[in-house]
Amino acid sequence: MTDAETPILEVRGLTKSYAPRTTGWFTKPAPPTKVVDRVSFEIGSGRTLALVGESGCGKTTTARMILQLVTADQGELLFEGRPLDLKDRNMARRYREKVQAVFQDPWSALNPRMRVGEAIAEPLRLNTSLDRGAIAKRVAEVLRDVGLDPAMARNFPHEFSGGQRQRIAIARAIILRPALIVLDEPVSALDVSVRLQVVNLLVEAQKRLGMSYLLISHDLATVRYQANDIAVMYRGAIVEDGPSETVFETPMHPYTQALFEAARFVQPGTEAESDDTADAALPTKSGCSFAARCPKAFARCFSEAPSLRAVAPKQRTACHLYEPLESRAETVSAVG
Amino acid sequence: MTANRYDPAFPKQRGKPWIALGIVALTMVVAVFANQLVLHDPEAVDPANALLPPVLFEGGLLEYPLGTDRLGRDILSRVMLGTRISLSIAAMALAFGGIVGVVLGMIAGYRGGWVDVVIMRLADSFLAFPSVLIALVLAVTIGARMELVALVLGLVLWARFARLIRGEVLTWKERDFVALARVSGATGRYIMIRHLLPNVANSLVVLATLQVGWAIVVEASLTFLGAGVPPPTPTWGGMVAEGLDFIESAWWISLMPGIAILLVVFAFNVLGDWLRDKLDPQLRSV
Ligand SMILES: Nc1ncnc2c1ncn2[C@@H]1O[C@H](COP(=O)(O)OP(=O)(O)OP(=O)(O)O)[C@@H](O)[C@H]1O
Ligand SMILES: [Mg+2]
Repeated sequence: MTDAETPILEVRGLTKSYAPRTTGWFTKPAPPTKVVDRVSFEIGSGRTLALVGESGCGKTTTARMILQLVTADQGELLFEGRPLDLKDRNMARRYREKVQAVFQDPWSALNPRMRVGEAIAEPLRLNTSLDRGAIAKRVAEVLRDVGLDPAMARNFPHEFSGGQRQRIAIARAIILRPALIVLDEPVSALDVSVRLQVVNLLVEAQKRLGMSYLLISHDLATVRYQANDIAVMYRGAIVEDGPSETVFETPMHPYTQALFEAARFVQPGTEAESDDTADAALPTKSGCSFAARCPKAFARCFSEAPSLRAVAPKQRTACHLYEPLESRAETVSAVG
Repeated sequence: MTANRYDPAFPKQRGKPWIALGIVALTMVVAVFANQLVLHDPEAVDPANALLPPVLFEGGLLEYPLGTDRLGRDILSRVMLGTRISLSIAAMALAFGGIVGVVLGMIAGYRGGWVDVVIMRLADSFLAFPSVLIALVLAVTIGARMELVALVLGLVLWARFARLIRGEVLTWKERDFVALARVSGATGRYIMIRHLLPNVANSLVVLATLQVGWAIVVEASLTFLGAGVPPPTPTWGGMVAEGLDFIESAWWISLMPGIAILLVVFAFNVLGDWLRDKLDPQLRSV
């Protein structure tokens, strides 16, 4: 259907602004702030793209725009090489069928009043016309795939642990054999002891079913283990991306360097960014958004926003420290 | 993360309200089988035995355990028939108010935006609705009828249901399972019916139970004022009104239906409170 070169999903210039949540009753509303700012990336077929960055930088918002749970102010999605148009009913249906999600909180992911078998079968029921017998068979299959007893399909969610619930969420996500699963911090709410099992389950399912992942995670060790590609977000924009190996070996952007550096000094299981300054940092009108925190900032950083450009064959970074290797044509516009 | 999760394994412990349950059960049985259970035709006039006191009082007859009214009609039989009328009206009003309120409350909560604003404004105005006045006007213009009483009650009830359901939906719709259903292609209608309704069902049962008493009291008041169910149908409110002229000599005519109202309303409210604690500890404000 699509050749291996076509990315399963291409994200082009996604942008979202929110009016700040904390607005006093009598103060005049503050202007909306850009939470996601012209984010572009692509997810290769069968590959895992990790989206990393500190808390509040816009990862979840990006994911929810991809999932059509939040409407983007600007930007477009290309699904299997074609611009996603939800008014095209066939395309909308295919997108709903081929793109699934697993979220962070396993307690919120399941309806307490719905048997887990029904929850797992839901994508199947909404998108196919299989009869009850066939559905039950598929449910049993995927339950086995995620390491649970098929007889548990009749149980209600409260009978399961967090790790089991996340397995159920994964079973539900893979039942339609999707092309892409958006994983928004799939293991960070779980006990450290079960995280690795769930990560391995995800890796194994991907190997078997050949789907792509968009993996949002704080845990850089997992990212390094799981991801083929990585995109680093800072305050709504991608500051660096490239093949995971390359970026981990030679991080170019000072923010990426700081992020990786910080991760080396924290115990596994704790979050890398305890000093969360994403919201506190002053919005820079012009210039690089990281300039105020950047140890290598120089005059130009405060006056001109750097654009994301190639610094190595497949690696791009948005930083004035690096002159573009290739011609201007390679440059992806990120300048306002 | 686990703080707000529903955990049916740990309902608040409290003994069952056996007395209230007994009264409610008895009321239901009487309402359904009133015709089979009565000792007398409740509309049969017996002038020879008019104004008989209850059996335990001087002059009372076993044949008329709760006494007779000024036409010699059996008060017990009339109270029993009145049970059916009162509960039917409450049921009709609750069915109407419940269905309209649940549908509109769900839509308001789930859709949000201007739809929510319009529906909730409407609900607020219906809550401020002068039901007694409207019922009186309707009784005068269209004539007093059982269905009209139910309708007037329903017009207030729907707004109470809509408010409750909307509030609940606002919290439930933020759960990930709703987002996940949308990701898999579920429509708003599907989400409301399959995901939201089952989760608000408990609150719904509690509110409905608590509103039975309200409906019975308001219906009785309307009938008492002559804006409810017209005579000769035996109703609790109507009987209380009829007995007022004899309140000094034949107090039982008003008192017996009054006690019936009291017991039934009390029983439904106790039951509702108990259900609220058992099913839905978050529902303290209703
Ligand atoms: N509905 C909303 N209304 C207003 N602001 C919002 C809304 N949703 C998100 N935001 C804001 O947008 C910013 C980005 O949020 P987002 O959830 O995308 O971050 P994140 O990268 O996923 O963070 P985390 O790692 O903590 O999950 C935050 O500052 C958040 O407060
Ligand atoms: Mg997030």
